[in-house]
Amino acid sequence: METALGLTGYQATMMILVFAVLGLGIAALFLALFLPARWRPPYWVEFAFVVLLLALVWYGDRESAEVFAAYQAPLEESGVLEAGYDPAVGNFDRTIRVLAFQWGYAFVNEEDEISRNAAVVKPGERVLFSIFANDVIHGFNIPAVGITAEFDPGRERNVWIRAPEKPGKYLIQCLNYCGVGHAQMKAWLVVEGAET
Amino acid sequence: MASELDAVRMGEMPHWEPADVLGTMTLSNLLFSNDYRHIALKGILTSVVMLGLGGLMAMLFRTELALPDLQLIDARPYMSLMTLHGMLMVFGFIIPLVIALNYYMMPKVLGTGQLLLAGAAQWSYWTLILAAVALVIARPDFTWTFYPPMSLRVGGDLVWLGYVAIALVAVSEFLAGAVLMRNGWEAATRLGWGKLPLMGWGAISEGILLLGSTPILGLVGIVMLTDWLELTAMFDPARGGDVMTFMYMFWFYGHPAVYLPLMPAIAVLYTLLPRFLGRPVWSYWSAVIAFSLLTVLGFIVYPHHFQPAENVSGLLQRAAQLLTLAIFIPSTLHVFNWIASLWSDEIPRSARRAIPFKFLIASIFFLMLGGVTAYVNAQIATDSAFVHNTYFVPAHFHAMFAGFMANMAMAGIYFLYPYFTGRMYSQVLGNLHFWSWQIGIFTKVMMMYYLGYVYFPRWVVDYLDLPQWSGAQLALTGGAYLIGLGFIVFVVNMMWSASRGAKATDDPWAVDAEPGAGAAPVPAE
Amino acid sequence: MIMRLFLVAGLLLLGGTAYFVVGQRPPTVQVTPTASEIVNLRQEGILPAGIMAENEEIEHEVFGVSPEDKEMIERATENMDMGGMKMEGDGQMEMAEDSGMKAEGDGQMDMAGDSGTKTEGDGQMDMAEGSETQTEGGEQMDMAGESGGDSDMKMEGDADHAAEEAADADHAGEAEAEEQERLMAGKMAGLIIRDDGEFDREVRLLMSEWTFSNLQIDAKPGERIKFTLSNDGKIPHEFMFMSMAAMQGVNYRAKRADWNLLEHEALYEKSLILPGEEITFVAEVLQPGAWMFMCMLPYHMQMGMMGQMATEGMAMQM
Repeated sequence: METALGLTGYQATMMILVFAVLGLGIAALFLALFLPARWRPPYWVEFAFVVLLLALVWYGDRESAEVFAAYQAPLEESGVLEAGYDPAVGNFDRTIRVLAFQWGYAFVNEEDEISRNAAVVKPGERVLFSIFANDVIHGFNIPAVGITAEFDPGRERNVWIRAPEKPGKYLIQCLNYCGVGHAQMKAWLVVEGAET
Repeated sequence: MASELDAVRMGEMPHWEPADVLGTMTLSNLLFSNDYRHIALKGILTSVVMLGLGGLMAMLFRTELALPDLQLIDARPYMSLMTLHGMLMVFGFIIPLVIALNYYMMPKVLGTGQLLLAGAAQWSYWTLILAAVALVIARPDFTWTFYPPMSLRVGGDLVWLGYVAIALVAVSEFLAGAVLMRNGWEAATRLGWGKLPLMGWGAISEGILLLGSTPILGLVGIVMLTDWLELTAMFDPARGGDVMTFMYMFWFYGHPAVYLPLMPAIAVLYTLLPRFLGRPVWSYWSAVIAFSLLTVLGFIVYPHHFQPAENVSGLLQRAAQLLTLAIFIPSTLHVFNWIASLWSDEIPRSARRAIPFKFLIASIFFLMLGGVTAYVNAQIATDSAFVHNTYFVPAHFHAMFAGFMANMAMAGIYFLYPYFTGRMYSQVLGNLHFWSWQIGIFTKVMMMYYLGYVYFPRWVVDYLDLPQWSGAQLALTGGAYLIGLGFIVFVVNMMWSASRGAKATDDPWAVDAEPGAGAAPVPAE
Repeated sequence: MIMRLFLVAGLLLLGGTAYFVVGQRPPTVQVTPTASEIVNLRQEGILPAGIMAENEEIEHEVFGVSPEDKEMIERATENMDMGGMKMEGDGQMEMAEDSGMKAEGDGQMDMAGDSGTKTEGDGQMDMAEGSETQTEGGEQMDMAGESGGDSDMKMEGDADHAAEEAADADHAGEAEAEEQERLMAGKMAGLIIRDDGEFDREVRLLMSEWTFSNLQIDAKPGERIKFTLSNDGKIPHEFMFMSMAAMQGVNYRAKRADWNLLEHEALYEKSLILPGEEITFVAEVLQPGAWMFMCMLPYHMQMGMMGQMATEGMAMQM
């Protein structure tokens, strides 16, 4: 299933790559320790290895950049990154202003209605969160959607998600230590659907 | 390329004589002596105490986290425990310990016979003691990365001592960098760059890292203090400052900071491995290139620490991503070198038996584990998804700090033990320590990776009762307790064996090759 | 000798630090910013000036209810009746030292029938099904809060007419039913709070970090007090009036991670008052008693944002 960053295929690929490379490395270590046959690699093997590493570096960089650029595209197109929050910005189905404070969240919807610790969206919607920190650095993470941001007071942070298809409530949590109430700084993302 | 050259370069020749240096130390030696063995032992013992203290902090907060909805420790003391754990472990345990091991080993390996700038090493030690005292008195709860404005507002009258402690740590580390640099440089110019033992390359690289990064840490500590006193407002947005200034300044130190314990540990590894194997490492120049590359790259990858704070992913972020991905190349060169060294010929029985060798092998294992998984830490897309500030990050750095560096530090201590006590430690206790640590560290690290993947947040005193979180936390706590147990076994071993262990032979690490295996200590021309 | 020295020093250091950091229980303090970003946002036009209406779409069901609340509140009520406030479970009310809660009288309380029934609409919690654990393929994580617990809230509790009424209410009538419920609970607690009405005197309350301007309010039975409450601080706050037993009853989870995700009943609640905002309400005291007002955002209360309104001789020592 897709996460906010469109990560599914890419994320799975990366994790598999990680486990494969790690497995090879651990296997090499164990072979070096326990295999009776000995092997002294010629120097060119390391050069070849470095070429392989460079290929992995290039691959990881390219894939990540592509995925992230695709994620950033709607933000850039809508102009919200330069202009900041603007009710007229049209690229998204819904815009919610988020005020993060010590210790909770306040969500302000487009009709200037405020709610504490719960935001309401419709299934599958593209939602833009314009996040403002009131006092210290806070975080904003929605595990079900797979997006994380941190933000400082004085700067607007823009994050968008595609709301989950299944109605229900999903956890929003703060991931940056923001004071004694940090562990309790959580909120609900409510996806409307079949009537509660 | 004479084999004798390699034997010297790779530190293969036995350099030390077993002697009861520790037992014959007087209180006056402890406090004032500039003999490198006394300074190094002082550093080693103090760092072990710091390990105990940082570890105790961890045992306490791990107990709080073992189950959801345990309210044994309140939020503020919990964060004090965590802050002290982080700072004591990084600044008090691992960095000083691996540097102290280098202090002990450099004079013989580099051929100087003494530690140059021993006075600076002395000052470095006492400044660190002062920093530790200030830190404990301040009992700050602002996390080891003390991000403002939160860190300026945690309250408590003595929090400012925490900022002072940071500045003192910077001074202490700067002095240590001067010592390492001086010794490495002297050996390089005396022996020639192509003949410098790898420990010397490690010392120079570490010196560059320390001398280059610590001044800004000191500045950050001082500005935090003046911000707190309201003389300045550089980091506080409520008074016109900017948090990103802090981010750039702090992490300019903060990223090299993680290589500060890594470099000396690698230097020790390059010195120990040939000793145990009875042959040089697979490639000298590969190691030199790896040291140099890591030193250079170490200074320029730091934006990856605050990547999700930016709205845009522009050129700077892309460059940081690329360079961060590239920085695992030098570490991989090291690992390749070590595995190739192990594989090229027989591993002597004496090596397989030796406790320090076991710790060395375990450290290579964890360096791979922590390093390869960091492939997803480095990428912005995965970082913005499940990595940033979830348990995935502490999983990575515990695999590195505990899995690689702490293991390697233990290898160094066990290796030097007969040389500074004149006796051998108990093999049984050593094995017990080794296995409890590896099982404990592995459990801990793997549980942390899992928890990170399922979005467990950092810095929380309590957590929701979700099935995927609770079981893993309990297992994690179990792993932590096992590590604590291993530490106690280690202390018992060290103390008991110092007076009752078997007397050490002339060369306790003599290579015991199997007959006819072709593992001659000196390879044929 | 040296090793033993380090061992002894080490043990002292470890013991001392453990005591100093944890055992000594230093008070929780937090300094607040000198400026509020919310004020800036209002100036920039990103937030509207004036109080924002509450989002009606968020129903109380969203927050769910902890099933142990009812039992804890009942227990707290019993303890009240037996004279004296007992802290249940680990409900350590750690107040900042200068919170100003002093005792008057000997605290004999007759908290009649604060039965603590939970009435939340028709009691069906629609939580997204369970919490699927993450699979290797990186499937979507469904972090839908606690598994189990409040997924099936039936109407329980002592015979309570309003509860039955509420159970039959449909969506539109739910809000009204809740209001009825609240007033009923208020009647039983001896304090009814309405948004407006006639009043006998006015009280001005300022809230800031981390206190109220007046932590001890005296009242007479039968009096109607109009409160003007403004947020003089830099951080958004909440305002609630609660009965003693209800407040004690939820104390057991006041520091739990899910505090912000669950609901708890109050005689009166305004969930968000932003810096600079002001609200008014009228409280009618029906009978002698004492009631708590506070901000129940995480740790705000523990750091001092709690006060008491009591009739003569009824004030409780915290």
